[in-house]
Amino acid sequence: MTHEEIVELFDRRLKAMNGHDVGAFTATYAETAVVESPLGGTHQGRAAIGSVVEAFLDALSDATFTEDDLVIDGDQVVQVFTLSGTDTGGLMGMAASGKPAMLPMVVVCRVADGLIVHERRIYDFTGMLVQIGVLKAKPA
Amino acid sequence: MTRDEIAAMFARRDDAYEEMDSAALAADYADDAVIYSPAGGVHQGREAERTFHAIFTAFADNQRRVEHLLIDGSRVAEVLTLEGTNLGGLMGLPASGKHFKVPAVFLYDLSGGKIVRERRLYDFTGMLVQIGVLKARPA
Repeated sequence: MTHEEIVELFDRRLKAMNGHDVGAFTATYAETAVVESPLGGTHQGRAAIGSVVEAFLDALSDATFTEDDLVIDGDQVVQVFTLSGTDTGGLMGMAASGKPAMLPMVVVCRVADGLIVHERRIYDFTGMLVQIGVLKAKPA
Repeated sequence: MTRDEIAAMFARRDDAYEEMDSAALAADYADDAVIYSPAGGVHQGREAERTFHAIFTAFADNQRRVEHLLIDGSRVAEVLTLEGTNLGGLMGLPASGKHFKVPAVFLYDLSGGKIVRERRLYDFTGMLVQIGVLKARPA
């Protein structure tokens, strides 16, 4: 893929995230794509990828994502964006807390034939759970 | 900088990290570079040596394993694993002796052969829980 094609793919992916359009989001992945996620663990295939992101967007129903950085080198891509949202639907089996979360997130991806074939999500997952009230943290 | 020059710079930084050479690492920053670090806070290039020294004191067995180095013009992304044991205390707390391991991404903007911006991203809260600075429990 060219640099421009990769930029377009990740623009489309971000638009799908902001539109909470799970179908358009999963369409940016290969059928056999593998995603490693703090929330969803390692999962494979568009159906599983869609289920994990749907659970996330159901929990943070006002979630928005703003791109901070996009670094492309060959078939490797790092995209950094800031998540802002409120726990209106409950995450990980918990009741909705109504608490907001704002944090940077990174996806490290490999692309092929116009699609994402591997993705690893890296972010302060524990901090996010504390922000929305799933976890309580205190000094040891 | 050419791609080869950037790759050589980051190979040299890998060696400096292995040697925990704070001065060599700090020398790569512009004085007014901005470094966004969960552990060190937001600080400038001229403060980098002190911050590296604090991190290496806290984690005297500090290790970083770079899995991917992406170079995109003057921007660089390192995808890496950070690992270490809290042997020297952190954030005013005594050493816990506890180990941490987290995946991370470090992003850099380069200009004139120097790092002018760096942003370090990882599960910092999870790291603090792993080394015993924080305790976390279900709400």
